[in-house]
Amino acid sequence: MVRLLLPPEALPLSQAQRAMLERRERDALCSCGRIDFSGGILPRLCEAFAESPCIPPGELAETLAELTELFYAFKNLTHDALSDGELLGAMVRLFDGPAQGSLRALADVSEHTLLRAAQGSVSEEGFPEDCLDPSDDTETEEDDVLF
Amino acid sequence: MSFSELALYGEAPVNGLNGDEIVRLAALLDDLFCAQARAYTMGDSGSLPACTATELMASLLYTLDVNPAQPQSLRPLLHADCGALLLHRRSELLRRKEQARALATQLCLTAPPLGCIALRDTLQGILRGLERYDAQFFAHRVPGDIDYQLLSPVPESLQGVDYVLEYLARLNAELRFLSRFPLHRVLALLDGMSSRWRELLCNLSAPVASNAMGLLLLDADPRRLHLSGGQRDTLLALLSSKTDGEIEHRLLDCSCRLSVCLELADERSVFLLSAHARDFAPGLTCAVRKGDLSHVFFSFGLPHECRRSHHA
Repeated sequence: MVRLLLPPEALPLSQAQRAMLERRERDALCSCGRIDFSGGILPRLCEAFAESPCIPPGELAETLAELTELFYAFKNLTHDALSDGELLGAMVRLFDGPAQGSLRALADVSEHTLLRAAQGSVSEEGFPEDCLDPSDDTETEEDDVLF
Repeated sequence: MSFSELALYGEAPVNGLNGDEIVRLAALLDDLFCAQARAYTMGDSGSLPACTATELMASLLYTLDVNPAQPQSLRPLLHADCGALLLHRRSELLRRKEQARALATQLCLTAPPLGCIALRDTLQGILRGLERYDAQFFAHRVPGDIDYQLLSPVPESLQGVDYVLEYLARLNAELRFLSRFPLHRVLALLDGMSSRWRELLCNLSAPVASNAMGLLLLDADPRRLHLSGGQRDTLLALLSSKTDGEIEHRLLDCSCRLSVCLELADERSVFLLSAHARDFAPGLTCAVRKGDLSHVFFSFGLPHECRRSHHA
């Protein structure tokens, strides 16, 4: 059972948008074959992406819904190796970094990229060029942080 | 429908509990499941793969000794402190685990030296499995790998350490039965059954019990175990005029006489032998109708070492 615990004043979302987010989270859990026991990831996800400069103001609800779906897909992709907090941190770094707000680019990341991003190592490798800002150098760590 | 409700009832309504009770039970199990899941993930995750969640729930239900298929087994949860009940049941499981470990260790030390690989590996596997037994998250899983087939298998409805305890108790009864016969005769009979019996996943008590009952049908000493060709012919003549029911009745009678003869009057041994008589009856009847008892009553064979030197 998913219970939405977003504080009303947290984000500029209408009642209908909140209901849509709840429904999309339930659907994402179902399609990913996962069971929630903590009230859902939406509150923490909203908090993590609240300051993201890459979410257009008019697309907040839809972007949060897709990020929720990606979150549960990534939990499966990484075989639950990352805690919820670590995975959210990795998603924020990648979304605001090399993905430049592209949900499609974020959806294509590999397990390896996610694991490295959770460690703070964000690389442009694997992201399409049109997502990359040539003036933004986000490569910060050596290749062998994790392996 | 919540996960707990799904785990309890699926999509079908349940008889014996009213709507309010179902809702309360689902809420109780929900709370227990959430606490279990939080402990399992150590607070790092708020969701789990459904298969893992199902296992955690199965472990909870087994530990609490409730069966969703039997609604009355759930009723005590309505009136109990479920958290305290869970802790109490868990400590019971650990006590039964120690009981199983003691029995498995005893069997390792006292089993007849048959040289059966499956039996040896099963006992060692059970001991290793009990060391790793997780009474908190996966209590329902059967600890250890069980290769050796029992004469009377443990019901699949049993789970976890209860399955292992029952398996070991039945194995103990079988090994006590085998120990009533001279070891060299048991080994010779098994060699007659197959030259590779030590490597096969077959039950060792079955041919011994069958031959013992066959000898009793002839009013001969069951401890001799060996049945000659002539004795098989006599048995064939004795049984060929009997109906299927009469053959089974005679075997059941032999099972009672065998337990008295071998001084195995305990309930498990009596059950073991009567269960074998019932299982053996159809195969014996079929062999009688075909006129060939050589594949149900074995003669003694040569030991493996003698076979090798003979062929050399």
